[in-house]
Amino acid sequence: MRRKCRIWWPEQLSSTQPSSDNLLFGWFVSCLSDSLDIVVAFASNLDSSSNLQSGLQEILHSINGNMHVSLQDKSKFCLLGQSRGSLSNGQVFCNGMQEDDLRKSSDGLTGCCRQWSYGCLKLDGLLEQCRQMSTGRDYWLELTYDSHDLHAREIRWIPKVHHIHWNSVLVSRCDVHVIVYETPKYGAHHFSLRFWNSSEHGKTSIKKPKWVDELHEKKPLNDLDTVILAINSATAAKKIFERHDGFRRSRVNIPIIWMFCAFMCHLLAMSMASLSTVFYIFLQFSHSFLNLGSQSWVYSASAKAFSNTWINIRIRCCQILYWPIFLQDNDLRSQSSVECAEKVALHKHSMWSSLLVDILLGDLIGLTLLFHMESVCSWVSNFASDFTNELLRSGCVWLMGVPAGFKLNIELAGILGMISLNTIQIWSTLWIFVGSLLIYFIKGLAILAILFGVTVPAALVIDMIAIATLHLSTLHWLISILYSLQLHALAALWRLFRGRKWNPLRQRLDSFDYTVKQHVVGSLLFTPLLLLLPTTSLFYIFFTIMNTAVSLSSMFIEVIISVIHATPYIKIILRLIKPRRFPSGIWFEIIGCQNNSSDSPCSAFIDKNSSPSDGMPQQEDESILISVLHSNYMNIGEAPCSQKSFISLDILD
Amino acid sequence: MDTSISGDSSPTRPKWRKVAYGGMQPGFDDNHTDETFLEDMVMNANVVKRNLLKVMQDSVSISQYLCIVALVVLVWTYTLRSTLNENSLLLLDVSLLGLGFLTLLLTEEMLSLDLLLHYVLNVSFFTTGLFVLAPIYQTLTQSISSDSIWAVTISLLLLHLFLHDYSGSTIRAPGALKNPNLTSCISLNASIVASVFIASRLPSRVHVFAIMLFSLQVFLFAPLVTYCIRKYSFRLHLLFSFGLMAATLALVYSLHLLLFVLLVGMLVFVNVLCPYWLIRIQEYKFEINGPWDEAKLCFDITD
Repeated sequence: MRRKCRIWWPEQLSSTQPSSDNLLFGWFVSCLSDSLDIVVAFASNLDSSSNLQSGLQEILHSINGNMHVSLQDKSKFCLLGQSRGSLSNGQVFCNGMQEDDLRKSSDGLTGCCRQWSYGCLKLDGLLEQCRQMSTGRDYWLELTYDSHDLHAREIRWIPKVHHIHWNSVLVSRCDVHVIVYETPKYGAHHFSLRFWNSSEHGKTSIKKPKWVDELHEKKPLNDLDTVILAINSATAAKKIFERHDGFRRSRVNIPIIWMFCAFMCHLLAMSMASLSTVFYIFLQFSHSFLNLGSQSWVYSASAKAFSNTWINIRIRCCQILYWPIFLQDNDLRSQSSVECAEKVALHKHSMWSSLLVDILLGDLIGLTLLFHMESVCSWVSNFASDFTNELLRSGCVWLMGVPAGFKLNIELAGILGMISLNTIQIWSTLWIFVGSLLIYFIKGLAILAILFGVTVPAALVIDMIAIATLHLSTLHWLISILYSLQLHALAALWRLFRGRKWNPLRQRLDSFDYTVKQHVVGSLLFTPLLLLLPTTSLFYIFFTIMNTAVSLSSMFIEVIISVIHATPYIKIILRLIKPRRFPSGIWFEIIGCQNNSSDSPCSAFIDKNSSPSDGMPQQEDESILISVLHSNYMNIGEAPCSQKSFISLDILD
Repeated sequence: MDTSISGDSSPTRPKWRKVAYGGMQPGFDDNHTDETFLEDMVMNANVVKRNLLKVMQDSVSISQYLCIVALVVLVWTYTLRSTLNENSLLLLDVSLLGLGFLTLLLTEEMLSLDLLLHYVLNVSFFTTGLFVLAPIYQTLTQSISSDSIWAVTISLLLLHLFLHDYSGSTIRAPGALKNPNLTSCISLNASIVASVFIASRLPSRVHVFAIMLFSLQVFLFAPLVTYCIRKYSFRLHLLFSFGLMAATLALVYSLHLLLFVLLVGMLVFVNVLCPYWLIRIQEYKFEINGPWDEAKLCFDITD
């Protein structure tokens, strides 16, 4: 079987003419025995890096140590091989050597290097390293360049594999797929295999057609996760390499302005941290002071009554105390993979953006409330008195008469109605005293909104609504207890008439002989319960409607609070400004393929009949497929793409 | 087939035995029967031989109960028309109670003090309960029209008469043999609910209490009293029944002619026609019993 290899090639290496030999650094990722993924991170010129040959091992080790953990497990950052600038027809650079000699020699790495070093002085130092590194590695890559004019994408030079040392086998004829990618940079773009908001072990909840599941059962031909992770970490690797490189050469003068800015940022962070610490100490003191009375029922009752407010205040305090961590601005550089760095940054930004929006809204609403305090106060008291008089009291009186044409039992309706009216009367008498404090309450709400954002006073409003309608919820609770008792009794008595009894152990009805006395008492009680049922049910329906209306309004405010908390503001804004930062999947654009038999670029379909039937290896057609790696960008409301993409290598056959 | 061949069969063929085991017997069919077939059959073993007089005497208890129910309806009607006021009703209740106790004392052989106490306790329990429930019953059906009330009451009374246990009484002395079965309990319930409906039509609390007490007394205790009378002496029973029927007929005649005619027709139907009909169709009764019947387990073992 022909071996297959894919070379993931950074774009900037293709746009300029390669002038001299370059060392290639990157990762080898191999999944199957006959296919190999070569991720090229960057290339370093042999001239300029001559004095780092001595410390190359340490540099590679330090770069590897900075990589993502899963990348370290799958593949080590290493020296991939070298690329030689060559003539356009791809001739071998070595003098006096026959190509078949090279192919036939299989004595390993050192032999090859010896061949190559014929007349090449530059490679002396490399020889040492090759020997040092040949013990622990399986692959070595030799590339040449080939021109390929695709002006639309500024790709001028395509690497061409000269040969690969593949587990101590020299392979010079293999199917090559060159994939050109634009190196991901933080803040610009990156690649991702998953949908933009799925977790690491994301699973989609949409229903997939059957062929997708069958496709998933096939063994994947390549380890795309590692490859994409390696691509995303290429920039970080290059930075660390250059840092070591620059460290060796000379110290570059960091501009003074940068140092001054860094110093000011640190100062700001420290001041914010101390302010927040003071704030935090104050909060803890008040909390422990409140805890002193925590045994009393007053504290527990008020804690339960104001639960919404308490939760929102806690959220707000946690968010405020998070500020210093944000301003510290560490960890950003140390995330090697651009994908991980973007995720972490988005997480941080979303925290402070929701806080900011909340406080802005709170300021708006608070200022409005402060300016229109009297009208708001009068509107609230008018609404409360309207609700009590028009709805509750009139409703009760209506029920005591002939509501909706139902003829109720006068006595029972009278009793229930009088109880409700008395309760409402007592409650409204109590709240007359509170009504004078309403203006201060609204002022307090406005100040809370200005200081803490809109969610905290909204939660306080919810709790105050619940407290103010306590009489309604109590009445509803009482009438529902009465109604359910009546229904249960009726059901039990009906079972008595049928001579049956409920068996709770077996959850079924058993036949049972009641005594005569039980029958008599049962029938004496059944008739009034049955005939009083319409009255009770009508009162129950009325109070349920009232209570549900109040609950719905509270729920509406809660939904608003949740929406303010949960909307991803920063993601929406970034999506509108820079959509490239939200990739969701990759796709390959095939821009050409080449056969060695005919030098002109042909169409993407390779004639299958051209596969060799004889056993002469040097007459096989070598095929190179060139494609460009693109990213799918997420649309809002789009269905997620499939998580695994299967590159079928059959097209290279 | 086999037997028609000849009398002397081959000496090796065994005799056919009527057993349930052993499988097929050689030489005989699966459905072979011999001359002892059906000799154990008993015909009309449990059929009671009746004669007309006896049946007519027994049907007197049904018509007696019918008259009792008719009297109750009569009292209801007079109360609803305000012919009877509450005081006379209360008097009626108390007298009925006294009469019933007297009858029980006189006719019950094994009457003991704690049995009497038990009865007194139950009666006082019911009286107190009714007194408490009377205000609730008074306004229970004010929103329902009168026609619906009459219709419901009559249908419940019919149900009560249909399901009533005429042979014994639902309420028995403690220590009685049989428990009341479900249909007699349902009939009792129906009668109580009917009386509640009627009681809810009355104007005042005392009315309601009195009529409920009356109805409950009659429906609960009248079968017991008549059962005791019947057990004591049959002649007394017959005398009592005829007297009751005469009184009922007289009272219904003074109320309404149509109802009188209806009642007379019912009594004649129950007392004369039904026994004659029963005797007539008794001839056609044909029961077969034999050793093939399922075994009936006997639960009525008293120690």
